[in-house]
Amino acid sequence: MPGSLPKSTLYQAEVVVLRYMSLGEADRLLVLYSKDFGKIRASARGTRKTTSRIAGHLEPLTHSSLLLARGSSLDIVSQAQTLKSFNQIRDDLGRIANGLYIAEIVDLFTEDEEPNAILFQLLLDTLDMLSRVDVELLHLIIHRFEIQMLGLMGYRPQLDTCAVNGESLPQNVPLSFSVVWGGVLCESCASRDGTARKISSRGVMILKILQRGKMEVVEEIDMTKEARTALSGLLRWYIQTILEREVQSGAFLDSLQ
Amino acid sequence: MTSNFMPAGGSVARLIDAFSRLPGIGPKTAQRLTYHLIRASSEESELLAKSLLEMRDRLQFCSLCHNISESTICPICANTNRDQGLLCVVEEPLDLFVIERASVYQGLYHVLHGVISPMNGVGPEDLKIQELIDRVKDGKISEVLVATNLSLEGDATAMYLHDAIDPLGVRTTRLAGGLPSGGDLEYADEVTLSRALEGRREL
Ligand SMILES: [Zn+2]
Ligand SMILES: [Zn+2]
Repeated sequence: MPGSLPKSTLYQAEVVVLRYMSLGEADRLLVLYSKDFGKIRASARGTRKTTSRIAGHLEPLTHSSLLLARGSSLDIVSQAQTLKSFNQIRDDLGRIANGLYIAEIVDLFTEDEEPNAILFQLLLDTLDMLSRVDVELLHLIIHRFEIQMLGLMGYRPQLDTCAVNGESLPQNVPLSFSVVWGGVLCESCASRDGTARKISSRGVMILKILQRGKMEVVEEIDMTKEARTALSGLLRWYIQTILEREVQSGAFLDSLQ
Repeated sequence: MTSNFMPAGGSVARLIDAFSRLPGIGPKTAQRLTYHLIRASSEESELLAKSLLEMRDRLQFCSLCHNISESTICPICANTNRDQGLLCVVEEPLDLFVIERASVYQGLYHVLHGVISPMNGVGPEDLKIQELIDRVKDGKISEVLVATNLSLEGDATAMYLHDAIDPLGVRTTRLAGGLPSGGDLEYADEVTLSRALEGRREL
């Protein structure tokens, strides 16, 4: 029964652990993204103790099946079982940084208890790809996630035609990208948004490939270091402008590039 | 909320409020502690107040290991009987205390004062990592044992340290054996901790 949380005292949830904070003496407050109930917060008692039998199933970026008990303020994790631990992410600093970045974006974009099964699947698929792909492809996996997530949250950027006048976008001319208009602007409309950023027509083409998301095509994208930095900066700026706040883990991710 | 039950208001409410800001202390415990002090002798309150002020006054950090210390160089760093070639890296002073209590470790320490925590905006530059690298560059250390928590962030910090220290030709190792993932080091019992220190693995 997707939607609001069940009224019964115990309920099952398939989740990805996004983050946790210390709570009280030896507990943790978990932020979870669940398949059926969206983002939920729950306390996990005694999980800071090394004797905890559930702590290992509740680390960030773990796909777990939980049994939760309804609490008066916070729900409480009573059982936890790892479905997938994504060990290859855990063993590599760059993959961890990428994983935490998408976990933070999911946390920042979602409200508590608003389910979105497609987003849950996108998160799982992306973690799976982060654990498998060649290091060289990690940045594309992240950008694919960013643009698809934006679409699911109602911010799908318009890339096929000018977001102001709907004209088709010519090749090999300077274009711009506008948060206000939610997409690419042709040269004559660029002045309609003073905050718009420059983007090349090749940059727009790459965004389109990422938006469609077909991995066979995404894998073939070949970019210079400058183009990579530009794309990553553009998407980060788009996301942070919509969120009206900084994505904290972006700084560490960038420092590893 | 608690002030509703405060006949004395003012100073009593302020003390309850101050206690409830401490980690692990909820409003109920804060009230209980305050009422205990109301009933206890005034010497007990004076001792508590004096200890708090003295602690703040004398608090400083060892210039080598960054542990809490009452002198520029802490007693552990000053102890020449300890293994000068082995350096154990911990997140917090409390972790160092827990390892010392197990009394199996004979080397030196380095306290990072946190862990790389990207989602909380804590990066390597916010920790005592450069200080660690400078210490390793000094040349006496042959092994850096990373004893950060066995959490995702603790592991990430360990890998970051490995990448920074490895080019200097110094071994980096990690706690292992018996410590389950997910728990905080400060809660480990002495037997488990001793085993984890002895059974460390290469990073
Ligand atoms: Zn136009
Ligand atoms: Zn010292």
